[in-house]
Amino acid sequence: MGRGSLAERLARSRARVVLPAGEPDAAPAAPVPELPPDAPPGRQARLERARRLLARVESQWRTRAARPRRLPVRPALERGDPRLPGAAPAVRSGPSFSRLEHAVRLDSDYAAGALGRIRAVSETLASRLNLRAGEPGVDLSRSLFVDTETSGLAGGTGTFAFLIGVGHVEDGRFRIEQFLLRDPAGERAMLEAFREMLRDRTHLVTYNGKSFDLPLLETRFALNGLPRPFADLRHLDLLPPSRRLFKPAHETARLGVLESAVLGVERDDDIPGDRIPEVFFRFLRDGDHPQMDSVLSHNRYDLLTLAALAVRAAERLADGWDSDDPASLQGVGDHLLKREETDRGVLFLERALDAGLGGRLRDRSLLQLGEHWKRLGRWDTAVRLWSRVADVDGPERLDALVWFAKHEEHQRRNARAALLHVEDALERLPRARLRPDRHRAYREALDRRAGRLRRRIGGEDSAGPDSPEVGSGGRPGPA
Amino acid sequence: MDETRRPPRPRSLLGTGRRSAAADPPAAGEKPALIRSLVEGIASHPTLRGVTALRHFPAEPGDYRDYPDSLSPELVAAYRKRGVERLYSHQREAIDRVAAGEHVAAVTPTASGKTLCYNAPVLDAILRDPDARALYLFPTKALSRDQLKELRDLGALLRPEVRTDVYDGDTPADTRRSIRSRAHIVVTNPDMLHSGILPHHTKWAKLFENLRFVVLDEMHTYRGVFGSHLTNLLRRLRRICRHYGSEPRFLLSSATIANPRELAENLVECPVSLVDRNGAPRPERFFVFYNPPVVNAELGIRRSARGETRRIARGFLEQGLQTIVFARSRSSTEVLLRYLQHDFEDRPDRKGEVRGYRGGYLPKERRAIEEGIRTGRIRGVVSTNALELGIDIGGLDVAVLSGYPGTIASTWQQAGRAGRRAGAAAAVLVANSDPVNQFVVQHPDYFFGSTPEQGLVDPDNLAILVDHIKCAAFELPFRAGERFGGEDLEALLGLLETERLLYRSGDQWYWTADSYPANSVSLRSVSSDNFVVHDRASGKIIAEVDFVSAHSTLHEKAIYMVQGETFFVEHLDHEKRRAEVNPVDADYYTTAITYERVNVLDTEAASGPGEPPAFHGEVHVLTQVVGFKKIRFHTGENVGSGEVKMPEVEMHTTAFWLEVPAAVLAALPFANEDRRDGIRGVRNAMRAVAATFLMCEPRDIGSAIGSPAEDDESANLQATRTGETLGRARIFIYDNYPGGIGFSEPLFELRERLLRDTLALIAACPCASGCPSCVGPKGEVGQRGKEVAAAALRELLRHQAAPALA
Repeated sequence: MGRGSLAERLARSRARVVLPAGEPDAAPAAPVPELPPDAPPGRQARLERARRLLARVESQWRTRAARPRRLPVRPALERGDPRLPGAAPAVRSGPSFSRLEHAVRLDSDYAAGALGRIRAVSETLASRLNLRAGEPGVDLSRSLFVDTETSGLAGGTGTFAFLIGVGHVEDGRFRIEQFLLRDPAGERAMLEAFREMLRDRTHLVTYNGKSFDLPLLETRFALNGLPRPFADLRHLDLLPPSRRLFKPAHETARLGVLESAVLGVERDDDIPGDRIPEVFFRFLRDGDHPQMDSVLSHNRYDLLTLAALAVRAAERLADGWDSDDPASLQGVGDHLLKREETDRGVLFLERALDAGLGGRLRDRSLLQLGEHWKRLGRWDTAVRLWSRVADVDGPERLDALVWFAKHEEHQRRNARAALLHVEDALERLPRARLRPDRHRAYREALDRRAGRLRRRIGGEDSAGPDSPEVGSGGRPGPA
Repeated sequence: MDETRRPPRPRSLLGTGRRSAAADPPAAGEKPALIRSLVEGIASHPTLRGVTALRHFPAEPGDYRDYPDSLSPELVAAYRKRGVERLYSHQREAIDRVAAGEHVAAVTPTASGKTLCYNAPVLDAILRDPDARALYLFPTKALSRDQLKELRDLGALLRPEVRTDVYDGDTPADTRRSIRSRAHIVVTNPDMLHSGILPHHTKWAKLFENLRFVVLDEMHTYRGVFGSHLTNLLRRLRRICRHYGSEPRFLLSSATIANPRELAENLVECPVSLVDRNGAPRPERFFVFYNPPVVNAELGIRRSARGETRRIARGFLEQGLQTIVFARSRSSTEVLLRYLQHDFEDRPDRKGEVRGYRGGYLPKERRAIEEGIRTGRIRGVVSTNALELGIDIGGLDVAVLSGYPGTIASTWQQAGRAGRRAGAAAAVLVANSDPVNQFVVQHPDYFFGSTPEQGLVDPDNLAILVDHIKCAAFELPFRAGERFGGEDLEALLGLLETERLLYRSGDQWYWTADSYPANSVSLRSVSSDNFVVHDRASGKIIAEVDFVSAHSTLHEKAIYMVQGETFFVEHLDHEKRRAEVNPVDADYYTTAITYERVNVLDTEAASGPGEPPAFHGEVHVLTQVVGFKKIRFHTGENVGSGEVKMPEVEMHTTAFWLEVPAAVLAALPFANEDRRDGIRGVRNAMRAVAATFLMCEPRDIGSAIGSPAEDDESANLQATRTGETLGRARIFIYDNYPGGIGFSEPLFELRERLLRDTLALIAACPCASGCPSCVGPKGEVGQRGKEVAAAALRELLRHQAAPALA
């Protein structure tokens, strides 16, 4: 509910008690009101009350009075970032937004020279980063890399991008242009300048742009009465393929983590993302903020990393085979299988298992591989793989049991054996710790299957003598 | 089939007390005579002197009109196919006025075909222009779902098909996009418009560009806080519409209130024309007021309203009449349900014929119950006011109201649930012992003679207004010269600017904060932050409970009731908002004991010298459930209690408070203990009188006692130790809503009458030494509480006559 601890808030409340706390017996009741009783609650009083109300609700903003604003760009912004290789920045300032340019030579050693290989990544290779096969890919060397810094993460029409960073390859350099809003009134002009950059471009690369940056920018364009900016662009959102390729090995797909884990880049004194809006708001009001430089540099790093990571991700699809890391192999295999590069995917998963893949990744791979062989009619191979799924109460085991049941029911025509597997799964289900919606889905599917099998068995019983054959692999099932 | 049916004869509803099975439903033709005889049975019963009023309203014929030529023939054909051959006069009038370009409010009784008044013009407009859009706002999700079916059935008969969708918190994410662009009619609720639609208006561009109609159903529910929020929400909506170049027409409908046009115009802030001449036929109706007999004259104790409600409802159910019972709270709904199910348990074949209905039941279950009532499979239903609104359950035969619903308008609404288009209907109000109930039941002319309450809103309540200005600024930057509400907008924007929420550049103010203001503004007093109730035995979620109620109904060791079943609360997880319960066969239920504490934050105004010291201003209220009592079913005896550890709930709100100076207390010739009891008595009586002044729901205000000593821990300790003198005491009547609803200022203005009427209430009460109808029962206010309360009030008022000193 409130801000601060209860004790603090109570203290604040007490401080507001305005009645004299004098001994009532000594000085009989003549309370001193804050307002003279005959004064009508005029506008000033109401405003004063509103002020107190707001102060209480928005106490985090309370202390500082607004200082005069200085609109011109501070020299601090014009300094180049000494930590970045490349040419000194050029700054062009309009009345309400600034445009900062940086450039990094492609042959710099940033991210072990990944930038330098950007032109070596063919469009065909990059297209294999797409989640599904058959969709056109982007050409990294012709793409615009886009990353925004925003006034918040809440979304909605009150959240805006105050910084749009755009990177692209030009003349042997990775050029970064940053559009920095210095006054919200300049948004339209800034967006138009950004759109100028989009002209003649057809390919876009972002990180989580599909659900964050691009819709947010679309909203800003719409609010400013400008046409939709991205309608005809090819777009690669690098986040989903990164989840597949890198998350198994690094447990997260956060750009900051992958930057150091995959690219080996360490930023010094980077500003945490959740502090950025606040820094901008202060910059806006005060005309400067000591950490505004860090925000700009944060955004440039994100763009460099985005480009370098796109290169590494594409390369991983080509050279991933050389890795000995089972989790990396699994990531590639999983991605390839899901986008129906089946043969290669299978090879990667098998190699990952051979390299000692463990835990749930192993079980998931076994399931995937089994499903692949089943699709080819190789039930024996499939069942062998599924039986290797660890005998623990997780969703992977449940899936394996369902596969066993399908196998018994449809291939071996043994409804009783199938039912034992389903009942085993039903018994494990409460211990599998699934999210409620998944839990429900599993329960319903299993109940349906069990019901059907029981009906079938009932039919067999009345039709003839029952078959004593039970089970596969001799695992115990509930009676 | 019976070969013969006995003709109905006068029967007693209350006489037997014997249990017997519910009869089969009587034939339709017999019902009017049966109902008449039952009602007369109540009124003429020799030993029942409790009936204080029996009103008879003869049947009224319908007034019919033809469809106007202006309506597209296709729509008329669709309505005819649905069985609407002709229009009622008020439907025709509404359609004509909309055609003339007016904003229209239709105010006619329950089940008079109100929805056609707005559906017909909307569907007609969409048939003529398939780009046209309409937005429907219903106060609850349940009403939205109910309306959806009707609109879809109609829409499916039209070509091109008119597409209607509900857009609320339950709408699946994957269908939202297509609803935004393709639905002709978007059905939603104010909360969703507030936090889900307006802050994302660019995604709704198609709707806002083409928005022709905004429909506000059940307008009378938009009173007080909710109404004040709604006006502001509509200000925001129109602001967005202006941005997209549309100017929608408002179509409103309402139950009967005193000032429908005024309320409508206050909500939409433009002239609205009123359609209130009902053309629908009405059946013969009876309304009975019943006051349970006094069983202990000394204590002023009456037989419990709950028990009497049970007997009366049972009487109707035994005759096979479909009966709805309205209870005043969720827990008393469950208790009554249990009683009535118990009454019919010797007929296991009819199990499930008496059901409960309230918020907290799962939506699917509620739909099933509504359907059961419509089809007649469910013969009896016990409900909170959740069924008071226009959910389509058809008309029942009888409504029994356990306790006065708090307002005249609600009482008529609940009574109106009984009444099919043909036949007869009866409503019985069973009074309980609280002062407002006693006043109403003993003065039936007050009820039957006066117009229902006014729907009041205070959209420029600063707290509410400022909240919505923030939301509006988030949606679109404010421009200089813009208007929003009655206050000085630029000054308020300036305030928000110094609070660093807005940034002014040139002539515009921009939202500059990393937050989503709509999320921290709740349109209702009830938070949307719900607890779920998980039954460990079945592994199912059996109910949802709102944040505030959860504290008093789901504390550990509480008995929680759903559909008359009792569950023991094993564990309440605050973090996860989840209660773990186990079914248990308990013979008791629990009520929470709550501790309240109020601190003054800011005094807005104080009475003048010579007056009894009274104030209004802002306060901080802490409430905490500290224990519970166990009450045995049926006997109502207290069979135990327990302590619980629950977190405190805090609230900033506004309050009126009266101070009883130490000198006044000291002047009372009583012991300190009695003086404390007296103050408690004044509090109880004053709260009741305040509620009638404000015409609010009793739960809209809270009350508490505090003394300045409590503001200071050490002084408090000392006072407790010495136990000699009492300091001055304060009696708070606070708005039970964060930020306040604006009750405290009117109370302050009425302070003298408040004191005098409180004294009059106490003085006129026939009880010997305190009863629930005045200062509270003796158990609470002690032997002399009533006496001391009256003396304290006299002393305060005497004070006023001689203004100099105490």
